[in-house]
Amino acid sequence: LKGHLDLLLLAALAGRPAHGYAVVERLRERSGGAFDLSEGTIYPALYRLERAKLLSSRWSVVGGRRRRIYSLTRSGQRALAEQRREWKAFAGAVKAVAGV
Amino acid sequence: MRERERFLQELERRLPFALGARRRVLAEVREHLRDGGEESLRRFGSVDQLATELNRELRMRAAARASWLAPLLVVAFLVPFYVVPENTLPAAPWSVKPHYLAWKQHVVIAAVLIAAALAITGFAVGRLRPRLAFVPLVGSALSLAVAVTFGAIVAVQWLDAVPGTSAAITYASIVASFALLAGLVCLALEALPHRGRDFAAD
Repeated sequence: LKGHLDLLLLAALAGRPAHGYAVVERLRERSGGAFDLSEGTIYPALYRLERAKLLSSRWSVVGGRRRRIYSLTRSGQRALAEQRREWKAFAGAVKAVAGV
Repeated sequence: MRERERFLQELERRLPFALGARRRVLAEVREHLRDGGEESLRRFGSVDQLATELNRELRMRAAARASWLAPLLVVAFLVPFYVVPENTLPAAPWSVKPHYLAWKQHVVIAAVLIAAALAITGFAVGRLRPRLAFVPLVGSALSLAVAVTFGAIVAVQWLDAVPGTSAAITYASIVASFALLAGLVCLALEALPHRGRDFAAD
């Protein structure tokens, strides 16, 4: 799963900026509980993607609390589109071979 | 609550300062734990593993930040050892500078130029490969150490050689230059790569 973590995080933030906790919740909800990534994995990955300029972040007050909000940059949007294409091709090939 | 605070304190203890980046990480983790409570605390895993993962990122951020600041510190060295003396101290009484001062000044100039070149190299490397930025930054700090040491010797000898030279300004310049050097050493140390254990992927 860690090999696809970047795709999952970028997709979770696509169009809807969020803080770290919301990202974890979003991944869990969208996957129906299948992707139960640990928080200890998420934060280093968010920082890495930010350093790679695929994400940007800023402090924001949400519900009276100061939160670090992550959002996709233009490079992040391009990377997400590319990774989605690659995943689609990969998943299609696996389906074809497996006959599912 | 007590367990959460213990976790945060332990995490703070294990993370590098990283030129302010640690504070942000701790603030984010603190807010996350407020949202998720005990369940989130369990899911964060061990402090050891989290600190190792974060250390790598924080070190690279620190290296990138340090590579911005290092050239500024090297340039700032010109203030106590050129700008201030040139504008405040009396003119030298000789037409040809004594050899015992001249060669040391040449060493200072050469060392500053090398420190500046390495700091600029660090700046470039910090943009492209932050992991490697510490190499030119350490070199820059060593060169500046040479410049500061010889500069301090020249400044003290100048006091005796040129009547009317202000001891207060001279010693203030020496202190300021050592402070700049300490700053540059700290930046270089912050940029050192993390050598912690690597954990297996989840």
